[in-house]
Amino acid sequence: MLTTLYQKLILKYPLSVLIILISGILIFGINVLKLEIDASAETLLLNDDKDLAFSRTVAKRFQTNDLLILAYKPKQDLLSPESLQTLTRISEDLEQLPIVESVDSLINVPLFFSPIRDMDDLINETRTLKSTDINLSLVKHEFLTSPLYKDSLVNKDFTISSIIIHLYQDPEYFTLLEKRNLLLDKQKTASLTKEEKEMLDDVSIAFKEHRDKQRILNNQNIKEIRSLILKYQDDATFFLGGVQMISNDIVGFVKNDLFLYGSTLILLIILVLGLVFKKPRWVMLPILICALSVISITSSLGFFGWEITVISSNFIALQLIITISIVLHLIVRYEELLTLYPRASSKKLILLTMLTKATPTFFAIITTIAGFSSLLYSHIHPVINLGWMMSAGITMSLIIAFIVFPTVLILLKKTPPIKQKKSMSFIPSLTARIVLHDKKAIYIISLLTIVFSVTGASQLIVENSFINYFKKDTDIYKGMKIIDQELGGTTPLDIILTLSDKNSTFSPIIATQEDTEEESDSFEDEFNTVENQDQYWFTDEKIKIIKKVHDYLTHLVQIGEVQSFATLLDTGKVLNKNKDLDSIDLALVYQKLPQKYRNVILTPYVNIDNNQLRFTTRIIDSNEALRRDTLLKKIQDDLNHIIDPDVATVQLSNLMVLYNNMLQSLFHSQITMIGLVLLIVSIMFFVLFRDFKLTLIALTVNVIPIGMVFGFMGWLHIPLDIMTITIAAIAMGIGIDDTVHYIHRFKVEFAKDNRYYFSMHRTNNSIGNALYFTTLVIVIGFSILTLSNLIPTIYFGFLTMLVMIAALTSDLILLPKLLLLIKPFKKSK
Amino acid sequence: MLQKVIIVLFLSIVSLDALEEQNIQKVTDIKVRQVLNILKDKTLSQKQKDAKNVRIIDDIFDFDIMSQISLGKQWKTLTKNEKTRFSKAFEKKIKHSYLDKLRLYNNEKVIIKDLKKIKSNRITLETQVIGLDDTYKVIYLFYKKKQTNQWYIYDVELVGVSIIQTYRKQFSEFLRTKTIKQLIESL
Repeated sequence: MLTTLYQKLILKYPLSVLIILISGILIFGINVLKLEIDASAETLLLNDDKDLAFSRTVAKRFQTNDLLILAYKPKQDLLSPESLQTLTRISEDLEQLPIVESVDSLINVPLFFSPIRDMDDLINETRTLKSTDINLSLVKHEFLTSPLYKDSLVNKDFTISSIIIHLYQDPEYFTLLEKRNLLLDKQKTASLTKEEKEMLDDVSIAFKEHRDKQRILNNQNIKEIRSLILKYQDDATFFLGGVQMISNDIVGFVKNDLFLYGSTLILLIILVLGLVFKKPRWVMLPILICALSVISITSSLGFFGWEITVISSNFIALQLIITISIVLHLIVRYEELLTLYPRASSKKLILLTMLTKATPTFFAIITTIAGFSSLLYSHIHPVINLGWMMSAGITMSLIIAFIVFPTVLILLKKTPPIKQKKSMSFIPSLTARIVLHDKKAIYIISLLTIVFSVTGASQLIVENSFINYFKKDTDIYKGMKIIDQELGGTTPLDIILTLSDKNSTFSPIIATQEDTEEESDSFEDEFNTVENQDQYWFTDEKIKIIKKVHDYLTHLVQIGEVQSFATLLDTGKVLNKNKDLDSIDLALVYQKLPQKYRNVILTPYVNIDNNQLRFTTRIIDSNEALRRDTLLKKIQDDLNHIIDPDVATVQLSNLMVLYNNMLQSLFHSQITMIGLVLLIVSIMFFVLFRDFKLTLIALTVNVIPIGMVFGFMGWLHIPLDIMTITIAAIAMGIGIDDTVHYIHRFKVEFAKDNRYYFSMHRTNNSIGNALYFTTLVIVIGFSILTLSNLIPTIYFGFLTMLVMIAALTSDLILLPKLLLLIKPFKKSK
Repeated sequence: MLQKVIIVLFLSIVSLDALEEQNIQKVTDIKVRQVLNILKDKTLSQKQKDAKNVRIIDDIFDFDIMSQISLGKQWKTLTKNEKTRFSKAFEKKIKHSYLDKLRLYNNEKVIIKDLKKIKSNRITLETQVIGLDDTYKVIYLFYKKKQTNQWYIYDVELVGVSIIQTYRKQFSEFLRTKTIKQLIESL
């Protein structure tokens, strides 16, 4: 059928086919404009994560809004008139920005101890640095010692202070989100009515539109803040931080970085192709096919409205690798046939090339797709997308390559075969000699590699630190580190205590004596009616718990700033002549406190209606010894011990938890996926080779390079994070491709003379070259990534190179060695 | 603010021999001044002031009923011995707190305002504490004891905060996880 297709259509009307295909792709390519790259941190969160719903409730209940932190390091003393003037001006400028709700800094935070005053006076008149008769040395002392400000508003050296930029909460986002989720939940349990379905569609569209609009606003806001900072660059140094900024911004950096190095990578690939094949067509064809493949997959994504996220962004690299591999196999095969039959017509040569490569390429691609399809079982949206994108992408590459390659080639004039210099393709024949002469070294090295992989993999850590994405000598790293280490940390973690509503468990109420005093009963009624008024909420028992939890959190070295109701109790203590405020004091303060103060000092930490307490902390992200998952588990466990479960339950919340959940499930899904991928791939191998021994050999040859990648990552302490975690999938794709081609060719060669040694030699010198050239092109191309300033790009480049080399070595040395040892092929007569 | 309010609570806790309804307002007024004088008297040591002031409040406060209300329904579960021990401990706590807060006195003025009869056995007396910048409302809650037909204070409300209610809430939370014995010890 394929022969007919090529003879009757593709090779008969090459120009028309080519024009139709290219113009089709280009017209469809308009959809590229619709392609959305959603690099926001939001895409990293798990949609069905219970903690996400909880975090949203917490944000709403405690009325928290997003914030950005701007570290301000003036040239003069922090409290010098010049510094304060600059601070005033920049704060005013920041407040003018559309999505900035308010700005807090040294100049407008309330001063409580400068000097210490009666609470009455405090409430009647809030003193700030702007007030008259301010004693600056008292103020400095307050900033350095007050539980509210030390180590967060100013650093220990009193050289840097933070400007906290509160952003408007976006109520519409939550309204739409809630509406959509409500309908989605309903959809899961019962079928929706027609109206509800329409409503769901409308809400989903509205939500997406609103989110996109908001995303643009946020990016614009950060840009505006940056340009504002530039205005004041002569007077001070600024660093912009805050987790929202970091995650959004870093992903932006990653994108730009990949773009810069990506284009250099293409140039390098062109150079290597030119050097290896020395014919312009062998440079132009792979690049054309790669370009068409990338355009068609990206425009399909645009057409179907699929967003590229951080996790799925790597798929283009993989598609590039596989496409180059397909084309290079075709080139090598064509050149091989050309050398063998120099006088054959171009059409015959092309047809033979396509027909002989169709089966192994098809099987290599189908096996890889089967492998990737297992990603669809992961419940992480971006990973599922990655699975689809990979599968669709390489299918398109296969089709495009098998149409463009013959049509372009037949339109070009036939050229004489390349005379490969020995030095260019010495590797495949060298490996053949190694395999022949080696006695045990290959097995020993393979065994050592396995040991290396297992021991390395056992040291793998799953950590995602946005700060550590940058080299330590870059300005951006230094800036983030200052906010992280000197101004209270980066990633927010909330601890929420829900106090139990249960009544006394002390003992059932049984009167011990005839107590018929009506008086006491009437008192009961009188007091019961007002029992639940808010002012009585602040009991000594609660205060004890709050202090215990707060103390525990402040003692954790991994945590920077801790704020809670206890911070206010500490402040109150200083104001109360160093005596703790008791519950009567607190009830009185609560009664007297105007609503605007309640909103600032109580609402973020205490929710009386829901009987909840919130402790806000920030994790010091640049700490390399930080093990996020372990830390979260430890906090949960410790607090479960510290607090009687009958009294309160503990829940962790906010981005720290959500990022960790995402990463952990990504990790677990990768682990389970690898198992599933291997299973599916082995089934595919078995279907393909119809031989158990061959399947086992192919599997072994593929598992070792993948293991090696994890081994290297473990030994080099490269964490599995959102950027590196997809590398296993890439390793798998490349490995399978090489193995299928090699075994297929070996089988063909073996059929010729039934001699393993000669078959190996011929295979190495033919298909071996294709594998080798693919590796050479990709490795040299990707080596440029290691020069990047971004650690994830460096890792990505390094690991891809490693995978390519390991897969090639495994396929050119271990695979033939095992074939020679096990001799799985049946001799043909 | 705190100090002022709390002081007034105790300032007005004048020693009265058990009250008749018609004297409540008048006697309270007189006794407030007594306490104010003690506090202003520079010849007295702190200890002497404390001792005198305690004596003034002893008769007018019904500490037994206060203990009883503060424990709520749990009171009925206590043995006679426990009740006595608890009442004693609670009385001590209240008095201690009273003396503690009195030390914060800073020349505030106290005005006795309206008397209201809520029902046949309940009367409230509103007073005002006037400091330099602010004025606070303090209400004394009296009840008529059946056995004696006399009036006693069973609670004080400062700016809308009932002292006994505050303790009630506290004790009920304490008893959720701990025993009455522990409560008495903690007092």
